[in-house]
Amino acid sequence: MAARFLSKSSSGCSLLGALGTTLVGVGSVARETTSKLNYSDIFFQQQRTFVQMGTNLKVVDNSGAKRVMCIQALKSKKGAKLGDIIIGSVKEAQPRGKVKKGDVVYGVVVRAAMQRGRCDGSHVRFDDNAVVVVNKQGEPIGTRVFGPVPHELRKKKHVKILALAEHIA
Amino acid sequence: MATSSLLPHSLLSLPTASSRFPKTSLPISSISLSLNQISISRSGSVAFQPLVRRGRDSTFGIARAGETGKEETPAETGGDEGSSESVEEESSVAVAVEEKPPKKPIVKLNEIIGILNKKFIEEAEIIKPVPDIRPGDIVEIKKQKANRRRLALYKGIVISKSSAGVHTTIRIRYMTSGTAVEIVFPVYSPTIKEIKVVSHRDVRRAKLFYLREKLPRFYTFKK
Repeated sequence: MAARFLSKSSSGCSLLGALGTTLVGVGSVARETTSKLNYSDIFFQQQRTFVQMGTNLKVVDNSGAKRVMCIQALKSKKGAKLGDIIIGSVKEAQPRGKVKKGDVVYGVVVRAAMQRGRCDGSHVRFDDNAVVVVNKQGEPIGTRVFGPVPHELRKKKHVKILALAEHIA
Repeated sequence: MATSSLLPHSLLSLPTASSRFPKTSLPISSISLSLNQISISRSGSVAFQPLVRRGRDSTFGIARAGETGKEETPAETGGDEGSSESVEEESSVAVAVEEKPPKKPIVKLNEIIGILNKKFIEEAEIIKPVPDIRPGDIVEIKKQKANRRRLALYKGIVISKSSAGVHTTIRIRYMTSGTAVEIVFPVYSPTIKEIKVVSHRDVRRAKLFYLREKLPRFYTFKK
C-alpha cells in the first residue's frame, strides 16, 4: 500500500479509465507503469494487466490451497483475463486439504483486477485476483466458492462454479 | 410556376432526344435534367450556367433543350445562346417572385457527430428518463441480463462519470461478500432499465478514485 502511494504513476490512458492495458507497450510490467505522458500527478491509477507467469492469486474455494502462483496462462500469449484458465503452482496450502503445497493445478480466474469488457459496453473489475482450483475437465475440486463471481463464466461454460457462488456480479 | 411550366416542355423534348441517342443514356439525361431544375429553383441565377456547361456534351445538349422549353436539336445549341439566356432570365425572375422554400441550414461535417448523439440521447430518453448523476451519488441500477427475466440490481457509489454523448458512462463501486467490485455502466444503454439516485454524499472531487484506498465501509451499502 505504501509503495503505491510513493510511486506516482499516471497511466497514459488516464483520460478514460475504461481502456484496458492495450496501450501498455511492455507486457512484462505487471502492476505500475512509469508515465511517459504526465497528465496529472493527482492520478494514482495503476495500470492493470493480465494474469501472467508469476502472478500471485488468491484461492477462493475450499480445495485446500491458499495461494497459487501462475506458471502458464492457457489460450493467450499475453496472459489470462477474467474467466480464463491458468496453470498454477500451489505456494501456500492449508494443512489438511485436497491439494498440497507444490502441486501443479489448473485454475479458473474468477476475479481479476484488470477490467473485462462486456458486449453491452459495460466493464467489470474486482479489487483482487482470485482463482478457483479446477481439474482438467474444468470442474471445481472444492465444494464451496467464496466471494462474488462474474457472469462471464457462463459463456466460458464454468456453470458449476456459478452454481456454487455466493453472489454473481 | 415558370419552372413547372418548363417541365412539360422538357418532357416533350425528351422523345426527340431519344431518337437521336440510345436508350441507355436516358436515365442519365433525366437525372441531369432534374438536377438542373433543382439548381434553377435554388439559386434562380444565371450564374449556375457555367457549371452546367462543363457537363458531358450529350447530356448538356439535352439539358439545355429542357431549360429553354423549345424543341431544338442538340446541334443548334451554339446558335441559340442568346434566345436561351433570355428565357432563363425570365424563368429566374419568375422563380424569385414566387416563394422560395426555406433554406435548410447546411450541416457542417464536424457537427454531424454532435447531432447524431443528440438524436440517440433523445430516443433513449423517451424510453427511460435518465436522472442527473454526479460523482458522490449513491445509485441503484436495474439491469437486464441476457436470457433472464429478473432484473439484476446494483447499488453503489458513483466514483466517476465520463460524458461522451450517448456513450456516457458511470463507474459504480460497491462491496459484496468481502470483495469490492467496480462496474462501468453506459447510462443510455437499453439494457439498463432504471437508474435511481438514492442519496448523495458530499465530495470535493470529480473522480473519487481515492475510495479504493479507503476503508470498505465507505462503499458498502445495504441493498
